[in-house]
Amino acid sequence: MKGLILKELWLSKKLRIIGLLIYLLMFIFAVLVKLSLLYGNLGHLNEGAQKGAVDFTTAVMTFGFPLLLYSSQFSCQIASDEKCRFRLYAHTLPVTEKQIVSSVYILNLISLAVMTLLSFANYGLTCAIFDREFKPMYLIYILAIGGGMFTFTHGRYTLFYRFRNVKKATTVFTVICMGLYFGVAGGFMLWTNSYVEKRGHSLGDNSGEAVLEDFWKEELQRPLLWLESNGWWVLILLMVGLSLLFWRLSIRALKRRDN
Amino acid sequence: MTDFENAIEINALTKRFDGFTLDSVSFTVPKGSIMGFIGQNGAGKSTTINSLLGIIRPDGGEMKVFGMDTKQHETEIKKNISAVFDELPFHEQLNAKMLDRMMRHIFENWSSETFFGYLERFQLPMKKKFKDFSKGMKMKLQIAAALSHGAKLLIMDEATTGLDPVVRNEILDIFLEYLQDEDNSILMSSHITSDLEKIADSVTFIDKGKILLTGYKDDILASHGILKCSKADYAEISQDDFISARVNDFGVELLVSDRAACERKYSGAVIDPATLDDIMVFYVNRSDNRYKKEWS
Amino acid sequence: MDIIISNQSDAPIYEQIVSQIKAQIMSRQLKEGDALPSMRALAQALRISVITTKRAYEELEREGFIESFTGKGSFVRRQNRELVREEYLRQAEGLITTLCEKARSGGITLAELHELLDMIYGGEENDRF
Repeated sequence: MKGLILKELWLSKKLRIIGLLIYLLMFIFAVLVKLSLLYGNLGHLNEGAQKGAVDFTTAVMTFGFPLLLYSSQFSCQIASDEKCRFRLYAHTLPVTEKQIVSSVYILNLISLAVMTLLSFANYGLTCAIFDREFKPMYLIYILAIGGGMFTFTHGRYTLFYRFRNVKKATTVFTVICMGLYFGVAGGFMLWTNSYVEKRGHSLGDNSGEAVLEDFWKEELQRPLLWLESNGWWVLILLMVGLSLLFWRLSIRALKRRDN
Repeated sequence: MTDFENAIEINALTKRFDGFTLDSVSFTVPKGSIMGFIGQNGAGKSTTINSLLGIIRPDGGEMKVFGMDTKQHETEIKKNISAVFDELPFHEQLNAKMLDRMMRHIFENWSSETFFGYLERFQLPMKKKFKDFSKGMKMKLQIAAALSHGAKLLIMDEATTGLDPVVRNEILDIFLEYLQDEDNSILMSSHITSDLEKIADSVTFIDKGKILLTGYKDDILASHGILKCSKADYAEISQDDFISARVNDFGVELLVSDRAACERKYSGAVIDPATLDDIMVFYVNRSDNRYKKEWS
Repeated sequence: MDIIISNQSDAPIYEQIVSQIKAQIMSRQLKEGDALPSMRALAQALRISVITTKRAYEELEREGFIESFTGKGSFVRRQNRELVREEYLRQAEGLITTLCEKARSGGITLAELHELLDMIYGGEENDRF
């Protein structure tokens, strides 16, 4: 397996360099904004706008960086593997499906860890530059986003192993995501609607607004409060659980060998 | 690995696709020999080889490599075989040095020394990316990698197709060298029969998913022949005596599978030796025409 | 040791090998106890199948010209030349009998046969260089 991990490592070299460059750019961006605030044009704005600029920079530095990188990394991996038919060749090597899938997961986990730390460092730097309060909880937020992307992308991977076709996998994945989205949003709307209608109103009227407030208070407040304090742990558990599931499914899909 | 007689034993291998079926393919490759697997494009060579290598799961039949069942001893078998394909299956951004490091961790018996030795012999650069390699270089690289971990069986799928004669010759020499060790065997699929005409020990012909013929190359070449005669004489020849006939304006050519018998029976007829190409062409054209064994 | 194979000849390749080695043994180019190249090495050098060389060696062994030992190789056997020569004489006699039968039924005279014999036997000696 070590051999496969090495391979993944070498192939992602380009992306790693790009990643570091982006990191550097963002750092310079933050410094420039700070300088502008102190000595340049931004200093002329009122306080509210200035704070807005700082907030924006922080957000970009903390979350933009990982999002940018994650979105491009994994599809590159699959595409290059398929182009040279390495995956098929790997079936002739004395490696198990478990090792093939695990090497991908391990590499992505490593890059997840690295990117989380880098983003966290990024955040720390921003706080130092802008004299803001450094909240360690951000580590969890960054990890959650990274972890979310990790799980998200590995879902695509699993579909890819199942369908052996990048286009097909992407289509199915998009359909599932849209299905989930509309399912959840639609379901939520139906729920709200039924609640409102039970009270004899419809969402269109003004009195409906008041009912909505009640709805939030009655139906959703308790779960929302619970989520606020425990949400992050739930999210992390969910991601870990899903990742493990995708891992098992990927191995099973590879074993099917229907080429 | 315990002692075994046959490097490969395939029995009734079957695989169904949309529009193509590999139908009960069976043949054997004895240890220490090289078998040429001949057939047209789309005849089923790659499907058979991919099934043997575990890239495809067959629908039926059993296969043994080194006397071990491929389903039960997959990993053990794979440690001792090498596959070579017509296209380089490694990523283009890698180079030979990286490949060496990678393989070191994949194969227990990988010898970097052997690998670098071959690279030097083939004059392949160590640090150049594969995307800058020519086709001949890519093939030599695959072969270098294939021979560097003590594999006892080389399985090649159209490995020499698309190479120029000089490079092909070099590669064939390497195979002959490889076979000097009696424990080594080669299965080679190709539709370039001139390569196999010389060095193959046995040959297997496949067409449209079925095995047409399999056996020792010497025997097959000795027992087949092309009988040439006039159209009038052709009418006298019994249908059982030939495989198929090519009719043209000036005469008829027939492939016979028992040359000695035909020489006796139709004495005076011209019977030329048949090449592997001839044999393939005549057999394939027989199966194409189900009602008459004629074609032109 | 020189072995020259002709792909155009009517004789199968293994027969060519057999007759050339036999000739070299008979003419003492290959002496008793000399080692022959291994079947595989010969196959590699001539670029032919090892099955062919194996067959050739097996035939040579059957006819008593060589002996093979597993692990060691094949060696030229001590020739009882008289016996071999007698065997060949016997074979030639058989062939002459068939020849004469054919000649008689085709109306070919003895003189014509002599001529043919001179031409072919003598010719072959001149051809071999």
